[in-house]
Amino acid sequence: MRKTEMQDDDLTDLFVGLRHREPVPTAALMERVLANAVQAQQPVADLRVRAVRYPGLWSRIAGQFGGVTAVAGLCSAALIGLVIGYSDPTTVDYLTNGLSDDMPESMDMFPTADFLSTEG
Amino acid sequence: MALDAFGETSDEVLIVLYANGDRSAAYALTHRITPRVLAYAYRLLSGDRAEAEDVAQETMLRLWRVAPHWRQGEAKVTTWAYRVATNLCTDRLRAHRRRGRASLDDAPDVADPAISAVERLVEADRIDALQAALARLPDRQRQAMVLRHMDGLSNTDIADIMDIGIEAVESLTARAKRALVAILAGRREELGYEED
Repeated sequence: MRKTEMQDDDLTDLFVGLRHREPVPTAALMERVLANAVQAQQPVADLRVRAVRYPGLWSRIAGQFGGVTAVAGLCSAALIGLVIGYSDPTTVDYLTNGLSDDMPESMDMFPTADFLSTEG
Repeated sequence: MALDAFGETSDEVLIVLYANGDRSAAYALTHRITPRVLAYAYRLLSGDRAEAEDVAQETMLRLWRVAPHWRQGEAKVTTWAYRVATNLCTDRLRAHRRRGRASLDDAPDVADPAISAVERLVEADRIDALQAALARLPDRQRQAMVLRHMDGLSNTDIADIMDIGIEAVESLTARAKRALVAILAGRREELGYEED
């Protein structure tokens, strides 16, 4: 039987023919693409350098408290305070024994200041 | 410099190297991706070489710009490039239709010196016929057909590029094939195919 319609094989053959005629990029196009690549790369490199120089979050927070050394001192004091607060009182007595032996249990710091709490 | 000094290095690694300032990675990516995008755009734009070159250059420029923000594992570089080229071609085709330009296929193909004059005529007729038939397909069908039969991509890759399901790709290519057969109906003998 005579075939006048395009067959699957014919279509495949047409596409193969078309594929063999793929356009080849010109040297000028490749140069333009590469030039764009170099141009676009420049700000990226600059951004990277700036990112290294820019102080991080922790550095900026430490700066608000007088620098890393000051923050380290504050942290140490806070830690010691926590240790003293949570440790057994006998340990504190042992540590302060030399001071507390002769000390009264209570002390009136402002004996003449009663007038502040009287009415009238 | 070698054509592609990176050999087996994947495009995804190259894009990271480029983002980190490696210029040879840019060279390798340019030589790997530009020809594919150019050929794809050339077919979608019905053989308009100047427009296809613009699309290829713009696609690559967008690739360079997105490189520092490239997220590994999300998409293949080629898939991303095809997707961008598809959108750029679609925009240009719409703009041409708005301006009422009927056809973009006036750019001559380069002749292959290895074949005879008669063969070249037959070949040119076939290419013109297929190019014209492709130009008459709806945009989505043409994109699927070119990706499948020209670029040899899998249905999965085409689905990624066109942002549709695999079944939709199969449906598009099947409809495109039927449409091409209908458009080329009765031209089998004219295009030099033997009678069976």
